[in-house]
Amino acid sequence: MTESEAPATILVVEDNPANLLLAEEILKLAGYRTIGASSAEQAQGSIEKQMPDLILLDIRMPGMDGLKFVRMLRSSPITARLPIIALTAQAMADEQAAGIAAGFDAYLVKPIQQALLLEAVGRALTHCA
Amino acid sequence: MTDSAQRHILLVEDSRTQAARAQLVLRDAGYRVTIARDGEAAWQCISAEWFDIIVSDINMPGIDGYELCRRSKAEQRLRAIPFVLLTAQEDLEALVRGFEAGADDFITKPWMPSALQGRIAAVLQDPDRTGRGAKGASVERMTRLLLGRTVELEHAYRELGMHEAQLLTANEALAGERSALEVANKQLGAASLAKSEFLANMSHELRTPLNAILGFSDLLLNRPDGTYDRDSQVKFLTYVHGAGEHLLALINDILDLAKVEAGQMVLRPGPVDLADLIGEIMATVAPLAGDKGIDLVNRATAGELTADPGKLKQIVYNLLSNAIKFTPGGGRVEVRADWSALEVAISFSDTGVGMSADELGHLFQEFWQSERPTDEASRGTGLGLALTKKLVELHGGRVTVTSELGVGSTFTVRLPLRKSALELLKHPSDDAVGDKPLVLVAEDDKATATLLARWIRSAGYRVNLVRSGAEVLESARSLRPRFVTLDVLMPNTDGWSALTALKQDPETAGIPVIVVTIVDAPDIAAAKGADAYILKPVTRESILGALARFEPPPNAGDYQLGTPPS
Repeated sequence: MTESEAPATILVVEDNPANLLLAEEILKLAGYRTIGASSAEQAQGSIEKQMPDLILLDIRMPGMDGLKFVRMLRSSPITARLPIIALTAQAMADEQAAGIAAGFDAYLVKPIQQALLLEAVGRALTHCA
Repeated sequence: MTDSAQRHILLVEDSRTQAARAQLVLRDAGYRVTIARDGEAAWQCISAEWFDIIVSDINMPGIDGYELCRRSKAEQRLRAIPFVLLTAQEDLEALVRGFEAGADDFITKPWMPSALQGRIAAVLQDPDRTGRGAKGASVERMTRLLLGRTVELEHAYRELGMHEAQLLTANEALAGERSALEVANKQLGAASLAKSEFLANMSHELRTPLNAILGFSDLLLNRPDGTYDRDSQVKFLTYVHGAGEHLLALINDILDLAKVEAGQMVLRPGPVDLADLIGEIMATVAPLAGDKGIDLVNRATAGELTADPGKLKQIVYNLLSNAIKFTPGGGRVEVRADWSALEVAISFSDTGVGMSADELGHLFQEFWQSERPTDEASRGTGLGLALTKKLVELHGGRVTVTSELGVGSTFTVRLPLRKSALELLKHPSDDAVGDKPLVLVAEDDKATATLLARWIRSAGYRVNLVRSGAEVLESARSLRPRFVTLDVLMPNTDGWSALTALKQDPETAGIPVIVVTIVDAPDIAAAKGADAYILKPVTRESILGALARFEPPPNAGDYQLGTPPS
């Protein structure tokens, strides 16, 4: 991690266009570089082209859902230790437990609380650097 | 028995009262009696003195009756002394054990004095002092007892058999009840699971648009001026607005669904020209189709059915807009209506993306959404089809779907043409003019109206029904009813203003008005001139009681009033 030289790149995966734009906007304002993807499949292509420093991942999406995607990323040696944070509208306790079990480093519930999001992103980047 | 040889009895008994009583009885019979309080003392007596007979209790501390008997029979010198055991009635085990110990006879407790005296005399007079005869008698008695016991056991066994059969039957019944309980439990579990799933889904569906609303408004409110240019601001606000509209649609759908679930969705059936109705909805959705270049075709043949026009419009709108949503640009959506004697089949066919068998299985599930809308922006609430299906079922109809991936789907709504089912839901028809006095019932709830009409008719009145405040005024003026019953929560004119108007119009002011309402406000009713006031739920007694306070009912014999209302 070369924080002083270049900002961290965060891949935001979210199928709802409004919520994708919102998350990217918040992260950009905090100084991060963002890449948007509207599905897990699109995110996969993006990772192959450029490895992000962190992934912010929605769970309920058409096609491959976030839980399946995070499991897939954890099973690959290249992305096994990549910081991945869930940002989802699934707020039930059992849903959160399932998310953590699937391999998310943190689990954030919508609506986004900006301070919480930035804190979680910052912590994940430092810990996994 | 001779005087010179007064017979000497050893009575072994640990109970003082029993011993004293036996001593009295035996002395009366001319015996000499020595009492030993336990086996030990008895053994010492036997060793020291000669007795003609030993009569012993069984249960005693230390040496018990059996042991004492066994010891005395084990000694040559004492063998000849008859040994009689005091046993409990029917105590077969005591008989057997006493017999084994060598007892010569048994006397059952509690004994009658004559029985005690007789038995002892019999044993003493037995010519064979070794006790053969007595033993023979004992064996006979034991056999009798055993036989009796066998009969009893057989009887008990038969009873057990019967009990077993009863138990088996009861057991089967229990097993049946248990499986019924298990089924009910499973259903409850499934219902509870469905409820949790519904809540989880609802939470998700509410949070998604709220995320955009709160997030973008936060950005616009809390960033320094100049952070966003006007284009960005408009873009953010457009998203906020869209999310708000989505939330509203969601809430409306949820409320509609909840209404159906609670059985509160009331149909207002009427004659519907189907081709007209479809044409109207097509005109509404035409811009959606036009934007995507989809060809909308109305092939519905004319015909009339009885349905709730508003709900039928909702059904047609949901299915048409769905078809457009899942049909790619340049495609075609066609509506047909096929009439038979019993039903009309309204079909919506598209050349859309179609569905897999798995997707078809989830189609009418609440919050389930296809992953293949042709444009993300038109994503719905996931409740439209669930609601459509319920609305169709409320009309006594059903929805079916056929679909092929990549080819298209056809949704078919079948509605019954038999009017009877739906007409049951309509207001009960007004009574024809007759000589019975008329009651005007103003009530928009069909169930309540039906009940009120039935009860009031039973008291010998005619009934006319109206559903709105405006109709009350009109009907009251033209029909001059004997009474008006008035629900104060009705569409159009509210009931309170209708009440005021009735009381202000000199032509209707004299007609007694009975306010029938869920609004607990008798003071308002009185202030506005109501003549009586009944809080819902209304009962036969309360409404007829209210009428009876103004005049005796036309056929008082036909009904019995309970306690008259005070």
